[in-house]
Amino acid sequence: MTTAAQPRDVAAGNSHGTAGRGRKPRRVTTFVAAALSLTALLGLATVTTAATPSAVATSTAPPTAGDTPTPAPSTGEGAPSAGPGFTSISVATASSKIAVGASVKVELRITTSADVGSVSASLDFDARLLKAEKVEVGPVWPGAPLHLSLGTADATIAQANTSGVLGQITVAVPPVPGRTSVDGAWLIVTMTGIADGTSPLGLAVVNVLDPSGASIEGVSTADAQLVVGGGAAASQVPGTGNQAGDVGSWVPSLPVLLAFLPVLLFLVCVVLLRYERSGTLAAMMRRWPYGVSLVLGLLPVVLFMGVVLIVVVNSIPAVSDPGLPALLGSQFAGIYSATGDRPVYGLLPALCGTVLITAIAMLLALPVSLALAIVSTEFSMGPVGRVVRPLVGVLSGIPPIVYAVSVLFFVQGFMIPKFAADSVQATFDPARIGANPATWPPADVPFNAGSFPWIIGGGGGNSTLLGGILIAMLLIPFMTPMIADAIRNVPSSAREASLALGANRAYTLRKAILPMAMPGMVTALTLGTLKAVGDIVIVSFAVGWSADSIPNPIFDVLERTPGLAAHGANMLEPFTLPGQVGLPTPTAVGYVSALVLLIAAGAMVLGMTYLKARWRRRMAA
Amino acid sequence: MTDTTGRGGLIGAPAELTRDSERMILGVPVTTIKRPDRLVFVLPLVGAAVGTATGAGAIFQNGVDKASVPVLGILGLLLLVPLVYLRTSLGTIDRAALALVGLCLAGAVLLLLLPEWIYGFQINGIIHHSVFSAPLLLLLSTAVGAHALRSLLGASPSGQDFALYPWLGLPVFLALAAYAVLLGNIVVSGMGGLTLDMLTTAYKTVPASKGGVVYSIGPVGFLNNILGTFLLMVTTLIIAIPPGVGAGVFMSEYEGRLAGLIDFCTQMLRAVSMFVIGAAAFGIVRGMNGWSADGLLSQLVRGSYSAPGGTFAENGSFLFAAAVLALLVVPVIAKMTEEGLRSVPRDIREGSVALGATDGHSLRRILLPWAAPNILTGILIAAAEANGSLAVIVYLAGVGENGVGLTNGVTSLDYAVFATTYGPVLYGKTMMQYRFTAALLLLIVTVGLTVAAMLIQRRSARRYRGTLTAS
Repeated sequence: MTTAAQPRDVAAGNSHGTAGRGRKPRRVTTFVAAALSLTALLGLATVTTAATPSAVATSTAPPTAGDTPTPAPSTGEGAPSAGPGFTSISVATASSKIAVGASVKVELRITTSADVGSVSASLDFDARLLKAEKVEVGPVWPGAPLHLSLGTADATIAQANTSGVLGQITVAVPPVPGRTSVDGAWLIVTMTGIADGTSPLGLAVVNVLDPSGASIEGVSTADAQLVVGGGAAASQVPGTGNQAGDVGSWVPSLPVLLAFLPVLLFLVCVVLLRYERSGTLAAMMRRWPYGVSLVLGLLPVVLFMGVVLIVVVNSIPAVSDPGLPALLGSQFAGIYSATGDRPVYGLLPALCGTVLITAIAMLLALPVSLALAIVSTEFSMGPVGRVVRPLVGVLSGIPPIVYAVSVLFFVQGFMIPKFAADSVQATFDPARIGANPATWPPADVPFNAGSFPWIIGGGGGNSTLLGGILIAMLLIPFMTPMIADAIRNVPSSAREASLALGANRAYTLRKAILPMAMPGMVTALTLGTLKAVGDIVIVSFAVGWSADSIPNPIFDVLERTPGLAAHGANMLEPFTLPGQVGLPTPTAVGYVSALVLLIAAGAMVLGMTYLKARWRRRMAA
Repeated sequence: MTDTTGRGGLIGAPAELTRDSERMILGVPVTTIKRPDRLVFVLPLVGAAVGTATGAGAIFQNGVDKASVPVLGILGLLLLVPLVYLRTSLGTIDRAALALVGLCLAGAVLLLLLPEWIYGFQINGIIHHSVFSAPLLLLLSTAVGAHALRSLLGASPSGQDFALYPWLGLPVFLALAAYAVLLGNIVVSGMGGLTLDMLTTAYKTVPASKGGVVYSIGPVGFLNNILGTFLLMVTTLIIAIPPGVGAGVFMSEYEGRLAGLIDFCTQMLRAVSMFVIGAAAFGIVRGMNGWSADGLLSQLVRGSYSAPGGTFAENGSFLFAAAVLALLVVPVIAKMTEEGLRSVPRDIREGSVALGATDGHSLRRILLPWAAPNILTGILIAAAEANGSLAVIVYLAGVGENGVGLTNGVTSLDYAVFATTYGPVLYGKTMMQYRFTAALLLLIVTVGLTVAAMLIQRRSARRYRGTLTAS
């Protein structure tokens, strides 16, 4: 392709092509580079000045802030408080901070001027940090019966502690003559902290019905934060994490992006200057394609620089907060780590997950794509090749979420029969797999009888292996057309020479065509790898969101080890209500993972370009 | 391009000439066997077919696995029959077959020794026997089948080509079966919810009449998600086409360092994961936290909705999400434009210049019309890609209960599927049962776009046959 370019430029008659390739283009590039680096510096300067004061504010937050009992803060930006005439429900905790192992009572309060017949609600909490202990009727309606979703309190609590949802608790209130309003706690749930962090407690679904069974309007739902953990460091979290507006303003990403506008203007000036040098206004106008396509073409360049800048700027705080050694740790203890314990932000597990998932996906996808590409080009195997090519084209349009949504189907149809016996059932009998029920579970196996940590299905993720398999299914239709193109672009002279010398087609394919198609196959391999590395949709459904530890043994693909992309996405905490933002340190760590992926992509693209060039030279020699 | 699909021609012919003689193929001595004698290889071929079927069956059904050990053993024995026969009648030993027999029998013994369930060694699971037996069975059956086929067809070059068929056919068959199972599940599960009501109703929670946010389920449907998908796609394309085509024109027409820079950056935009771009976009939205929701910039970037109590900011508007998605699809359009322009035959370019056309004239009248089918293909691929790029908008999107418009909160069908699991709790509880319906709708839209792209590509390839066409 490049060899054809030179004469064509001359033919197209553009003086900016071959003829003008002496000094001028280099000068423009220098300008561009200088302008970009200048803006980058400017942006960095803005950010550092903007970031410093609030960073100081973070560290000087009063250590006792979390100790005093605080009323439950209302959720979101604009959740209006309920007026005196209407029903409101709130979550109130006796103390917003508890130590690990200690308990706190959470009151679900109701305030209404109407008479109430029954109240039902579900309580959401982070099951990794908190454990529900006891559910009891509050003092407003002493002795009222409590209806729980699973009948008994023990079963409901046990389920809540795995799912994080204390499901559908209903209090049916006996009628009291003359009662017209309610104010006070109708349900008290005792929570125990089991790990450091901040857990939002929220009411999921609330139904307040009057004695006739009709819904009472004006229910306002509420969330509260419960901070688990002790020590001075823990108390920083309420000061920094809960005030939404405070955290977001320390990253002036938009001003940074706006700083790019001058760059764009500058580039337009450069283009115009170049025109002026090249002749009259009329000559300029005749050569509009150059200017227009340059400006339009530089748009993605500038925006890409913007992406890089935003990612870099946002990950800078991670250098000081968890610190670089902490980022290289092999343990990750959760997003809400409140202890300030640095090693808990280790990204190595996620990196390990990326490598495992990509390796599984490539191991499966590469041979299959190669076979499909060969079938659709060289060995059509009768009618098969004619069918395969359009079929792969159709399959390449399947978006990742379609694979992600099929996770439960694969778990039930493939993962459980192959990798779990039926041990996910409560009725699992170890004798079924030839084990001694007396010594079950075996000491060296990290699972418990009857339940696997990784068989959750639905949204909870499953295992690295399933993620790899589904990503392979995503990659096969993506890589096959690229490999097929590479094979098709091999000059037919090579094929014909090999056949003319008496080689059969299989030998020709192996020794003549595939080596010559190697540059195109390297492209397919690189882009496929990058796609596998960067996926968060399939990984979040099939594997999970956060990688907590390096699997042991390292090849244990039945563990849940999501990749860096999903792990980082989880730390950005985007899946919250509008206006809410994550805690500063995890967010910065999330951007660090984005930066790592960015650098990896750059390295792979450069490596691919180099490899392709080298291969081409070798083939030419 | 040469016709490489047929069996005949140059390569098929010498089979008759060389039969029944010792001959060399590419330096390897190949013993050719008389045709009646070769028929004994039908036995291992049948065994290989049974073995492949058993292996494939064991993937789907654990029960089939019980047959794996006997089948593997019989496979080895079936291959032993021609081996012994050739040894007695011809006095030759087929070393490859001997090795395969050894592998089959060793594999059978190994599988026999493995217990049905394997656990322990810190591995986080109870692994079934078929996880080992099915791949082994498939691999060895394919190897035996390829060998039997080669021997059956003789040592002619085309016979050797046929011997490659099992190796190609197995992965193709397995992959297509996997896709059929997956898509079948989506279609079957999604059909149930596919009613006119779901298509024409927008999901909405009922707002409180007198302040407060009531969590109660209102109408249920995907109307806003469907409209949002199309709005997002169209807006993305409108934003992405000018820079995409511009970058493509510059890269193909004005080679040099600037073109190299543009090439590298568009390649990087394609190569960096969607997560990185999404994170950068979310950084901008985060940076606007605390801004008034009424401000113009906030409306354009974050979007807004009004509820009793005022105007509230969303996480990202359609306009902003489209601009971010445009970053992702600009490289696709640029690449296809570049390819289209590079495929313009040189004589046409030269003719245009010789007749005195200016740069602008030849670009507008000659080059772009020639590249138009490629650009259109690129645009359709980009549209399909924009629909599937959930990872970018996952930070910005909502379930779309506040309407569809440029400054409304962005939503799309793939986010609707995502939100059933990771979205608002109430949405998940209500819509979980319809997630396959949303996936099916999304599948219809994207596959439709892809098929359209393929048809245009095929038509353009036919139109310019005989010239240098891109793909």
